[in-house]
Amino acid sequence: MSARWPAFRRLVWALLLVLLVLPLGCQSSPAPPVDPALLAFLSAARSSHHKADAAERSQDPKLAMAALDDLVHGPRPGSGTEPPEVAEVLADTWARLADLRSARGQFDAAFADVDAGLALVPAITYFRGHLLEVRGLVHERRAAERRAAGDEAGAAADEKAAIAAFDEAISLQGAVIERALGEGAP
Amino acid sequence: MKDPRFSAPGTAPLELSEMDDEPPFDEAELAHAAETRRALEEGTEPVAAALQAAVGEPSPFDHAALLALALGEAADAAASPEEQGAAERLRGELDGVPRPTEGSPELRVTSALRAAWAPRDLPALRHELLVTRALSSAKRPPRRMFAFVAGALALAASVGLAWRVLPGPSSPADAVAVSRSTASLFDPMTPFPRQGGTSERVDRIATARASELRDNRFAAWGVR
Repeated sequence: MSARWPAFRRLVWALLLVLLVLPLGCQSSPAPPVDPALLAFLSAARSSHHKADAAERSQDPKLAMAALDDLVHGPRPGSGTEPPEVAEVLADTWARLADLRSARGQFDAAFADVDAGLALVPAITYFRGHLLEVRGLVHERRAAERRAAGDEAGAAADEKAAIAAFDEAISLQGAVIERALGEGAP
Repeated sequence: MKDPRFSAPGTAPLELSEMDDEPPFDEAELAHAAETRRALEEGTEPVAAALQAAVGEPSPFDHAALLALALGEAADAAASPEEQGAAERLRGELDGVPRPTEGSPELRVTSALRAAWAPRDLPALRHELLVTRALSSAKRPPRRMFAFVAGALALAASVGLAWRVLPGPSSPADAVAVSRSTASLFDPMTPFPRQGGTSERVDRIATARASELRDNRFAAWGVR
């Protein structure tokens, strides 16, 4: 018995260890609570957008874009993964940046803004739909500029891309509405 | 005619005609008045002393003591009878073997300082008593008992973790607002406008989450 006792004891300890660790793997970590760090970011976002509003009213789109650039490249809560609120606010900010840049003819930067925003909101929400709409808007603006420059082929390609982007936005917005109706159904 | 019984020091006596309707003073009142006058002159009448301390100059003795204290000469000043009595009492208490929790406050402080700086040897009987108590309470539990207790603790910890991690029914007071999508803050039947409106959306998100943060704090404080 004395020879078997250490092995039995090791087995008991291993079993207890498994029992301790098992609950940790049963469920993924819960969402973090709404905390002051999240509110600090949202407050900063609100200030940045109102500053951009004021700059736009003053016909200073550069200042507006700088305010929004500071926000999207600034500190944010969450270690590696943004909380949903942060991701959605940033996505909306990228959409606004794309709008501002494309209005000044910075189409490549505007498309990059749209892509950065779409990466943040992969789920079916109006935030994603809005980015798809803005992508269509950027294509529309570039088509107009190309047409004015005599580039009919390029303009046609952009018009086609704009239609595709709007179609995707419409489809996604329809999915949002359908899901809302489904959740509201008894 | 003036009656010297009704004159304050340094003032003129009152006319007896002003006191005609007053009965004459008896011996007790006269004695009390004399005692009060003496106390006033010596400065030992409590009400007068308090008033003087509040509005007047400090007494010459207090003045000298304050000056000595300010100039660092207080140590050289002669001890008062009260101080000498307290010192004698403390010396008498220190000559014994006081317990740290007994005696006057000065004795407790002094004993603690002495125990920290130069502790005395523990009396042999007290030492033996302490050792006996310690040894009698230190019987080692058997190994099986230890294993059983450890296993029970591990199981309890496991159940506790499962209770915390696994979902279960909770009361509204335990509900804490968590970070989540803000889609529910917007009308699902109205897509975002193609241009503009971003500031209003951010305003709405920040306002909603600020309210939830307040609720979380109230919940943490147990006032919800």
